[in-house]
Amino acid sequence: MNRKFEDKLVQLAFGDMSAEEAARVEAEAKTDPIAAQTLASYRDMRSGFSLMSDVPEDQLSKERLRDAILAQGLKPKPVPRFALWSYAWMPVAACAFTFGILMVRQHGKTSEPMVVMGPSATAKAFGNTDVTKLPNLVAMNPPTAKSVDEKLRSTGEDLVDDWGINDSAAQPAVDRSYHGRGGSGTGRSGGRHKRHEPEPQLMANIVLAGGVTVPLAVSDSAPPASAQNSMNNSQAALKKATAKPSGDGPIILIDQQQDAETGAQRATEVGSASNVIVGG
Amino acid sequence: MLLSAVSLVLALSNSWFEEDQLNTREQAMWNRVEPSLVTLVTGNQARGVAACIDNTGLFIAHQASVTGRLMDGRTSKGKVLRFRLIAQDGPSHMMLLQASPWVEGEIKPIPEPTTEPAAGSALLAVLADGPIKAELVSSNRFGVVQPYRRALPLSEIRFERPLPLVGGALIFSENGQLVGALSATLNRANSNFDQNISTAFASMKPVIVYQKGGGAGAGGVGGGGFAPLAAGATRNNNLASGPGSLTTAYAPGTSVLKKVFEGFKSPSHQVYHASIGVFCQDALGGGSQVVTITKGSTADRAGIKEGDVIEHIGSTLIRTNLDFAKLIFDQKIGEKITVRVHRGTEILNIDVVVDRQIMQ
Repeated sequence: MNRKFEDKLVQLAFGDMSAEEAARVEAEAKTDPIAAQTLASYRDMRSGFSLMSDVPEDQLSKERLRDAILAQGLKPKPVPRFALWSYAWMPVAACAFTFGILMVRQHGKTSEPMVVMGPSATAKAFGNTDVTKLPNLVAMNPPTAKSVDEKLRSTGEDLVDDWGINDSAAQPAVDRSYHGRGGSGTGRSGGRHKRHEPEPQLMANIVLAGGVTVPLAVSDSAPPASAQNSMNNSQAALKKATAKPSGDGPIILIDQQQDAETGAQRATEVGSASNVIVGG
Repeated sequence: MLLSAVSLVLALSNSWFEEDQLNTREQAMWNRVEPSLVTLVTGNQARGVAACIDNTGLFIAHQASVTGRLMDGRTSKGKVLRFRLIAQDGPSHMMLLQASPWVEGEIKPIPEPTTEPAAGSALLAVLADGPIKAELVSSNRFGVVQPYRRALPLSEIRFERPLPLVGGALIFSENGQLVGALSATLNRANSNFDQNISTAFASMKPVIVYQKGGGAGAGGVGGGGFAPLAAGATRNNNLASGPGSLTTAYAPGTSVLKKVFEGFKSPSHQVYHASIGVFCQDALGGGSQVVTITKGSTADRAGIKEGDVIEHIGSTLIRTNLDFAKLIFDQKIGEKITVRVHRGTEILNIDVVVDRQIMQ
């Protein structure tokens, strides 16, 4: 089967031939098994093209088939220009993801640390609940006692003195700052006007170096005589107007105890140091 | 696509990698301070670092890095020096060491602290095993240090992640100044506020050495002990200190370090703190109420009594005990201050001389 006869077979299969010539070629093809097989193939191909909706019927011609088979096949349908960018989302998504990760990590670096809250913050966290009635929120006890250093006393060294608070005399206490801030969160002066319940007492005895015990009270309702005398009404009114929490920020209490995790001493942030005895 | 994936992996790995590495700026900081430092060792174990502060072989270190009165130290060039503890300051936890044999000029002294770094400044914390980067959160914190009951200005320093055994790290600013030594870390393990308070105060026992008339330093009362070996502690990752993934730490402020430098470099090597010899608590309604007075102190001699409520010092209104402590901290030793106190129905103006106090 030569090239020319194969062209005839193509024309026959795609109907580009007169009926007379078609009959002649078909008869000739039947005598040659290869030609018959080739003709059957072209006819199958034509029927296949017919099923393709995007190939118009009028293009199912010999020329088109020639293009398809003999001259590099069917020409590709023009691809829309935007399709070239259809894969661009991948690098864009990768960049966006990377940016997002970095931003999240950066945000983590600059965020403010969450600190142990002071009394006012604790009170706010509990809303209107009276925090003094909650377990484990009763404020600190007075500082523990320090016995007189007998060794120093025995030396008669009058340049060295000692002091301490007798914790055996100390009563369970409630931090005044809870009262002052539990309701309004406005500090000591603001909270003091809101008190309607009996005031708990913070009482401790001061043991002086000479062994003299002096009661100390910082409760509003039951101050000791010395404290009672020290405050008259006008002074209290003046100080209520000017009192504010200690310090501009949280007070850091640095414990003597070392933190085995960090090798440093333990620090605790508190909102008020009103019960802390400070030297100066 | 492959390129994108590779870029993504590189970007993320670079980001993680950077956290553990000093950048160029931080490396420059480290290069600036490293020649002034020695690593304190016990046996073959590094305990901390000490910084040279003058040309006579005086070194300063945090007490967490000092494990005995005699220690060895290695310079950055590998030379071994012997160090002897000669002085210490309790509230700042700083210790003074004398190196021997000392060859003048061999180690460059660090500059004295002069300026307070601004909040947000990059810092370098130098541990026994090298530098790590840190950030100054605030230099306006105020804290009470046990067992001295001394209120001191503190710097709050933040590290990017929980770090083991950072206690005693020397903190340097970008210009190479020593701006603090890491004394305490925020306790995150006991998140309950009350528990913190109770713990913080349970062991609050005062250790005071009061010195009358500005004489030489007397011996300490229970102070002067060395901290437990920091490097010997084991780390439990479940109980990291500091909030979240951060470590928040505190160091004595620059103003404290100035006093420490001044005292350590003086002939007596003693750090003197301003004091009038009283201990105060917030007074009812405001003011600072005298809880106790040290016998023989200038306040005692001037006539201040327990129960007095200090309302003013000079022209400054005293609202709280910390106001009082802050003001006393800033006083110059030897100056006379007028303390206005309320005693019963009387208001008294009492002149008190600011004395000096050694706390070890």
